[in-house]
Amino acid sequence: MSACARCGAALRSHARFCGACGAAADDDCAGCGAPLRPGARFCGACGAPTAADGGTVVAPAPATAHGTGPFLYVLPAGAAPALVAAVPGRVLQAAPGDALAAVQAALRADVGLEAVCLVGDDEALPFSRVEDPCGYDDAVLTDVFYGMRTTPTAAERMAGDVVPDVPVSRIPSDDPALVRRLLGATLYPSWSGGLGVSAAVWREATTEVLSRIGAGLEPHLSPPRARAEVEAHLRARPGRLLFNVHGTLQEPAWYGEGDGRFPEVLRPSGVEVAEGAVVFSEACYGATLADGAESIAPTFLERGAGCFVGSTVIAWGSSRGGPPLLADDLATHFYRALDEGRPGAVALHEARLALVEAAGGGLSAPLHNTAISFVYYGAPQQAGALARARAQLRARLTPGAWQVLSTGRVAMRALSGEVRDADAVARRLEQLLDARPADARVVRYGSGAASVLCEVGAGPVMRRAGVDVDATGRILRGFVSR
Amino acid sequence: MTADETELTGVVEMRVVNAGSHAEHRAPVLVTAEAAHRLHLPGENAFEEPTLAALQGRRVTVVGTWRAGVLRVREVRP
Repeated sequence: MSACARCGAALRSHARFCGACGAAADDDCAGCGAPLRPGARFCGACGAPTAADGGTVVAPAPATAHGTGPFLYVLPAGAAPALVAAVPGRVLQAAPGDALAAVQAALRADVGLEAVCLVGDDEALPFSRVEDPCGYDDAVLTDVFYGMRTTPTAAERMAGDVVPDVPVSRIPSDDPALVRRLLGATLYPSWSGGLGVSAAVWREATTEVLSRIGAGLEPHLSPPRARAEVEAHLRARPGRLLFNVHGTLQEPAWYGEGDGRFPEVLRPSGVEVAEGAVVFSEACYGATLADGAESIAPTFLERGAGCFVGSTVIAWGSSRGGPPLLADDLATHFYRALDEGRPGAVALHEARLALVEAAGGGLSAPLHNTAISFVYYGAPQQAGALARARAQLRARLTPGAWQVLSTGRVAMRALSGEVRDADAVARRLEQLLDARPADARVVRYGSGAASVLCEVGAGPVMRRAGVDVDATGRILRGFVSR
Repeated sequence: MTADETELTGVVEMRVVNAGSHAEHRAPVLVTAEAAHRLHLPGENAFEEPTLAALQGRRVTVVGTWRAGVLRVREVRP
């Protein structure tokens, strides 16, 4: 029997986590909990050294936590008191190498947590880095593992395990004033006076996205537009923005493309937006944080934006002249979810889920990267905003119009072990709906009546949860109504 | 040349990079006896690289620092 590297407690055979302190067992990474390949010297998920690297596993230093609330704010250990004071509610402080494991342990310990918000840049609270299955970047940088109870393996991710259990956001700053402003920000509510900018070669896709989200505007195309014209439009301080342009790690600039030219369309100095502006960029490396120099994404936040969504690596969108694809679809789902009343981080969460569900199975490498590389910079929004969004959804729901909200990977795992026991499945569905058994109606349907649907309430407040099961007993999907 | 800088000598070529991706474009590379290295002149248009593109076919020595697999050129000598 082995012992926990953190607290020394005895571990059960094949245990993935210590029953005493929640730390990852020693066949998993001590830094992030990801399973390790046999003989691996470093974790493929977070880069932490393993026991095979010199024979010593350095147990993560204990993280500190205080406060209560539905959102977990994560700050670097040693953060300035003014920064700690700027963050309300439940706070966890951890060193850069320990932050992921500490957050995942918190998620495992408290299933009631609704969101995780990282307060710090890549140096203070590192992105997770995984191998790029597309083969272009050294690594794909992602925040999604901070919203998961464990880190999925590469195989699990390619099978679709890329949607966090809770939404993750990041405020990439240690400036207390900026943190306070973002925590109190109200996201700009409409496309009135909005701005769309597209490389001319992606005109068709960008136009289609703007149409699908009801923006009511045509994209400014580059070429012929260049930086002077785009920055002139920014001086009108738009409240919602969509950029479908080029980006690079080499310059803090975005570019158009057409006729063999790549005009510059934006640099940090030209950024102006309305207070609370919502910015979605499909630019490659659009979410890059400054490497000792200014960069565009944090500049949007510093100049008043309420949130910024962009990719940490090469982004994947439409081909030249082609229809919307991947990042285009992510932007579409994101803005639609915002207009349906979701808080910003939840909107990206649902957009990611919609992409994965539409794939209907395993992920292509570009879809994998799209799902994990787009990050949300901003606050998770007040708990009140989340409650209002839920109330709106429930009020709108009618028996004939219920929709899938989430397959929820933890719920799916729990259900998959119980599928042969329909009563256990029904109990799980009741839990998902927060329903008492006496209030829930259970319907069985499908092949052998193995599929189960659970209903609570009636009329406009009816909610449903269910699982579709095929003839072999395999769960095809799980769902919870909005 | 500072301690974090690299000096390379080779021939400048324009090659397609990130082929097949959203970021596919032609970029300057320095072809040395050992390998081909992507180049960028800081401050210039990173997708057009007018100064380095004008050196296409020329043998030059460049001095610069690495970022994300690209040599950011501070100095070019014939």
